[in-house]
Amino acid sequence: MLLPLVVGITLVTFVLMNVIPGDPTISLMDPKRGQLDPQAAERIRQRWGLNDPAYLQYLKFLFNAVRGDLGFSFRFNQPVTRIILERFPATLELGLAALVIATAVGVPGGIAAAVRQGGWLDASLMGFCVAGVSMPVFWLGLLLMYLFAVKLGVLPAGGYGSPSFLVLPSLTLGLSSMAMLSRMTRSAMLEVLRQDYIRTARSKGLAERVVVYKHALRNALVPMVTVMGVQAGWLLTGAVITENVFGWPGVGRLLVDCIGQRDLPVVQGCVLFTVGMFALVNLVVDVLYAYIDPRIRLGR
Amino acid sequence: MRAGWTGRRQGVWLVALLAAVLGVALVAASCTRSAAPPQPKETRLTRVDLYGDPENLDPILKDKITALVLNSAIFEQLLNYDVVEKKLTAELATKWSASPDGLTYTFELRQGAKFHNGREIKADDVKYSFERLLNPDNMSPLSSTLASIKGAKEFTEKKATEVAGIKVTGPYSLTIELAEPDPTFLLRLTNICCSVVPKEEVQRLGADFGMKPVGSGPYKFDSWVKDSKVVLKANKEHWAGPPKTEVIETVIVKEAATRDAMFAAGQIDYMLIGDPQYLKYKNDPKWANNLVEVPELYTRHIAFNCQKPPFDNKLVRQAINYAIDRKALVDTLLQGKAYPATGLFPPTLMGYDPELKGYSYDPEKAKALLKEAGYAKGFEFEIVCTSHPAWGLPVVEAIQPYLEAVGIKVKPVLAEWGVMIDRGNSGDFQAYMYSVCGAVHPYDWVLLFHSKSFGGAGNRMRYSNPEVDRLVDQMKVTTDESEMVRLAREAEKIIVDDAPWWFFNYNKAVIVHQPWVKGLIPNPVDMDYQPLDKLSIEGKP
Repeated sequence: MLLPLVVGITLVTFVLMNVIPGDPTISLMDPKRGQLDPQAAERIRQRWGLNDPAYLQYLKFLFNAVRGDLGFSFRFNQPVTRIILERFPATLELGLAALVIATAVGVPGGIAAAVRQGGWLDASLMGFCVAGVSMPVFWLGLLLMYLFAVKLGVLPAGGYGSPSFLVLPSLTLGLSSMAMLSRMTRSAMLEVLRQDYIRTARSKGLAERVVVYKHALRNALVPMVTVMGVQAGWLLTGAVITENVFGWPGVGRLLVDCIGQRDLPVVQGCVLFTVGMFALVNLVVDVLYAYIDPRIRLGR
Repeated sequence: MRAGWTGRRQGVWLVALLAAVLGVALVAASCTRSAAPPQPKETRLTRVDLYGDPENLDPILKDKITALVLNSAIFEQLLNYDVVEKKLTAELATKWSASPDGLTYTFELRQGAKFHNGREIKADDVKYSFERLLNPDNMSPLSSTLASIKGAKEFTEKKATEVAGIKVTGPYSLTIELAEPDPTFLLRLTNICCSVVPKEEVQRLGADFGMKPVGSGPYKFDSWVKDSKVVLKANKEHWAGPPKTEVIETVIVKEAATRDAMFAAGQIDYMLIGDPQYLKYKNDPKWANNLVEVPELYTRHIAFNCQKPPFDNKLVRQAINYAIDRKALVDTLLQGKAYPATGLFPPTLMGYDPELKGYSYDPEKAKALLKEAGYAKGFEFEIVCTSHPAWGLPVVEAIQPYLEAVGIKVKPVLAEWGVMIDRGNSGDFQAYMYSVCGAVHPYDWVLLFHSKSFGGAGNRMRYSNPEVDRLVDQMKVTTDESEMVRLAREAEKIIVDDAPWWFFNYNKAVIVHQPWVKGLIPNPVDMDYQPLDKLSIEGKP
């Protein structure tokens, strides 16, 4: 299942990168400082097989990728695998922090809103969630930066380093996931709370918190975990805008830079990396399903 | 009954467990990098890189300003060029001289200058470094910098094992023979790609030399978090004595709004500011006195295809130069962040002629010229342009009404930079808008107008004037500076009169700095290209 996906996605990437105009050797020179010496450009094109027919370039990439070699970026003069791995810890850190914030706040918030459906807590929480989902990350990030770094001076505005640098970007990034998760939790809980067995549980005199946390939550977990899985996939493969706003050195920013610079090997590498991360997250989600709901069996 | 938040129930535990696992993973991820304890005693200066990761710090591989600034502190060349005083200064060479025919250059090296690994620099290292740049196996995009050396061609074609023109004549002396005269040769040697590198480190590190560079400059490479930060530390054994600041930190932040916030929060000591930010700092009394401004060595222009009608007619080109109010465009569209062009040369270029006034805004004269040229009814033409705010689409849109007023219709054609240059090189255009050329020697500027430079060599306008050709050829063999300036001015006058360009403006580059930063210079080559070893922090609270 994964192999056709990988071939399909890398092929689309390859075709797109070859269709958009622009010469990869251009990225070696600063546009401001003039253009590349044609002889040097030709040497580089020959050395890295840029003169080969397109289908051959793609097959070479695929052949090497299967053997674990993602190729070489002449812009960095480094292997692609290394370029991505150097940026992965930052992406992982920011993604996990955002996921922790989203889960730790979003899930209890969603439950509270469901239990008090229609109350002021529900209304204000859901209002907050709509704001959270619809607020542009860019704007929110700058707002937080202005407040905490410029006005209060308690946190660094941007950059990467000690844990204090993580606070603002992870809050910014976590907020929309949190809102999404919270809404999902609320609707899943509401769905379950209306079911007959909950009425039975209540009528046999169980405490409300037992009804909510033991009987209802467990059944609401499946859709929640699905949403978390999707969010985790996004968060762990690099959040371009947040990374850009806070100068966070992650994989998302690398990918966007490399598209602009026509650095095809790195673009392909990042795409493969994204596919791999999503596959991994899906696997974890499947395992969690089986654990949450014993009716779901792994395997065939 | 109210639901409590602490019920010991399975569902809660599952969520808590998940959060805990993620939390542990997060801590583990944070621990993958070493948190360096801050050392308050060190003087530390933080600058910002606007354009992105330097990618590679091997001096022969990169010509991007992000890498150049850092490499200028890590590496040294034979000579340095003082952009403010406009003269060559000694670096690893203490004495240099040219033979009367301009073909042989002799260099005396500084004794006692050492690489960061402690070894002394000898003349052999210079030869090694220059051959490394020229060696085709090293894939340097900059190898043509030294192409004028005798034997360089044979060496790059692998017909010779060494460059015949580079001769080591003693441990501290060498001569370089050129294949043909090149008035910019000594200036070429000041390029970062001509840095002297230690052979043993290059061989030991292999491709990693660009990741952990070892040079001989006032700063040593310390650490690099890709896409985030590069740290340089003072080289206390440097021949010129230790530099003023102990640690130079470069943070990579591409987002202008983020840089503004970091600067306001004191996280950045100085930074280049862009067009949209300029007025904000200029009009703020807190920062107005902390700005450094300079006309950069770039002339923004519209280039005309001088071989295709209507621009094969000099009068038409002149008419366009008269038809547009460049000063008004600079004041309004560019908010004063540029200097209206008075000719080809920016005021910071050697040879700039203060007497030259260029074209005034005179639409009546433009109309008269068009009539004389036989275009009394006007015409329509295309301008290929990028989306650049100061020399792209917004400018083309702003000049449309001016040209419309004299009967000329303009059609902007938006293209990517690379596509525009391709079309320029092949001659497939009527006009395009660009900004050149960054060179500090007027010869490089006028060479763009020589008829032998058609196409990719820079004369995309296909402009040809035998008198300009003659003057440029004469500059090529001139070694006397005042004669050089005289020839350059004469050539400029003719070029401005022939108007193969619409001369628009010279960029005003601006740096804003914290009050405690001293030593910033108005660098016309690239304002971001500051001499890091001359910068200091004084009186920081």
